[in-house]
Amino acid sequence: MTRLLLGVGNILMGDDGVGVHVARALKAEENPPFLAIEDGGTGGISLIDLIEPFDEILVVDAANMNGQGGGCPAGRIAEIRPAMLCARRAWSGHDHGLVDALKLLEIFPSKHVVRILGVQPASVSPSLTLSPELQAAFPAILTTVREEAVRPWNMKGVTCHD
Amino acid sequence: MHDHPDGTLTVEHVARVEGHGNIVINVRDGRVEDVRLEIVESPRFFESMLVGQDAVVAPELTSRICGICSVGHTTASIKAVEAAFGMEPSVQTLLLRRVILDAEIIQSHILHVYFLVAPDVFRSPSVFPLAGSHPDIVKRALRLKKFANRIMAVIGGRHIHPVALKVGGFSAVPSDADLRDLAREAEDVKRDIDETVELFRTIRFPEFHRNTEYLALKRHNQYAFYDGDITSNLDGGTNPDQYLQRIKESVVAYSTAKHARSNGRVFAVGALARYALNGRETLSDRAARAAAALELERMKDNPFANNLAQVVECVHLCDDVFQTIDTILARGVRQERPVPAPERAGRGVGSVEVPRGTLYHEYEIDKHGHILRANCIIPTGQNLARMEQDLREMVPGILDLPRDEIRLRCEMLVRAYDPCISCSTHMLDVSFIDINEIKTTSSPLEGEAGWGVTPLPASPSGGEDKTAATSS
Repeated sequence: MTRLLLGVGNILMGDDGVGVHVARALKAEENPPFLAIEDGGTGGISLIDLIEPFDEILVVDAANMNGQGGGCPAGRIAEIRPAMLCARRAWSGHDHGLVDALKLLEIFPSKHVVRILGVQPASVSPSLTLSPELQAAFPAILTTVREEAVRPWNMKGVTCHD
Repeated sequence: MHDHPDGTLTVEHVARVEGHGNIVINVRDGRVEDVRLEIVESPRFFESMLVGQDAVVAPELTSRICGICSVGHTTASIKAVEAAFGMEPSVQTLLLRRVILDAEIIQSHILHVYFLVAPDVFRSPSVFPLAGSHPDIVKRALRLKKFANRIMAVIGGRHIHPVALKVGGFSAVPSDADLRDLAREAEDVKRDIDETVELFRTIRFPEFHRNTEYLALKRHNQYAFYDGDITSNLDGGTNPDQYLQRIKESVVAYSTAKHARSNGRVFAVGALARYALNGRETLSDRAARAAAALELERMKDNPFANNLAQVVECVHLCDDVFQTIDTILARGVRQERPVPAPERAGRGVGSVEVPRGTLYHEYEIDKHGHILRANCIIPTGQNLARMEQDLREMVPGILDLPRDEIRLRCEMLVRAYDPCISCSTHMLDVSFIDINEIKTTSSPLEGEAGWGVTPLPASPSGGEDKTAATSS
């Protein structure tokens, strides 16, 4: 079994880049041999080429979970079912994102198991650093992601076909 | 769709248009009163983020502006810093930069013509139903994109936001064996490229011809991408260092994105502008044949033909990739280190042709090597005024068509420019404001079939309309 921890987002846009910050922090640690860690940035459809070689993929991204029955505190981390994702309808190639990469994996049948961990951002606006709220929550975020990244999933993760 | 207090009706959320802006078509008594391209998203102020940064890290930072044009921004940024410091990179560095820039433009064009344009012409709401009905087409697109990504990974260290491109050279030079591996793919890639030309040969785009100014970098006897003089089809050339003498940006009341003028005129940049200015004789032989097959010469005053020019450029760029790799191999790959950057004050402009047109970065650097001032002019920003002018000229001629057809035609027109809104801002909804007749339908394409996508609402904290995992 091979597994990819994929952090995505734009590190120029403050908390939008939390997935990349998580990937970079965990990549610096000692990790089990089955686990690869990549910074997917804003790779869009090109993420497919990163995802393809792996059996299991754990995506970490900023996700706005407000409005789902009330406020969600910044730094909260939750698993997101791919079916809940909003696919941006594309105006240009720039609008094809992670969701579209996953949809293509679904159309061309694959063995991948994809799970997505969303982190509630406090501020998505031009900044090279995380907001104070996410900086405070960062150690706890790392702990959660680390645990999910190394524990066996028994192939019960949410797949693209969910 | 909602009513305005004054009784007009606005249609929003048109298929495959995700909105941070609008096309507004204002009709009175069957006549077009106004057409506006409104950009409403907040500007992102990337330039201000560069101020105070060490100049040599600017390329890495600007590579993160956009996931599709990373190499373009990195290259413009490196060229600006090298110009400010008076640095000369090695011949091998220039050749490697050429190959990786070629690759990025190929992957961007392939993404555009297959994922955005092809669904329009097959009347498919998006690429996903197309993947079901024409899997060979979408698989071919993914193969070509994967090849371009491989080039970027081999030369740039990674294919998303490559990191090996540095001021003065490359932090790691690919091995002779890696480059030979890429060269071995030539036959397969060229076959896929030829089939791409065949596919687009069967497509007829709307006949909408107009006079416009084109701007592109141009060099003698060469289809220019990496450098050249700013050239216009209407008047002479301009040294890129003097780009602000020619290109002036101005604020438009209804748009948060600036509009640009060339000596006071609206203009277009991009693949079609490059083709029109460089000429067919500067293309590779195969690309020149492709241009002939696609009738590009006849179509070069038609903005829809930007799609065809992108296909022709893919042919040319693939040939250039393999030819340049052969040149690098024939010279013998040298594991050289980047030229060290001096610590001194200066000002430099980096201009480069990227998928959507000419990109400019300009930095003023203090004596400690820190950026004092930065200016970036993005291709899409240069095209916005021309897109709006095209809409104004096109819409009166198609007003008799059904609403959905007008909407599709307008979307296709703007889409032909392949706007890079994550660099400038985001777009777009299409709205009709019909003063007299209120009769409209929402798009039949609204809501893509198949995946049950559920939008998460926008953050109440404002700023970015961020939904779950929408990183693009």
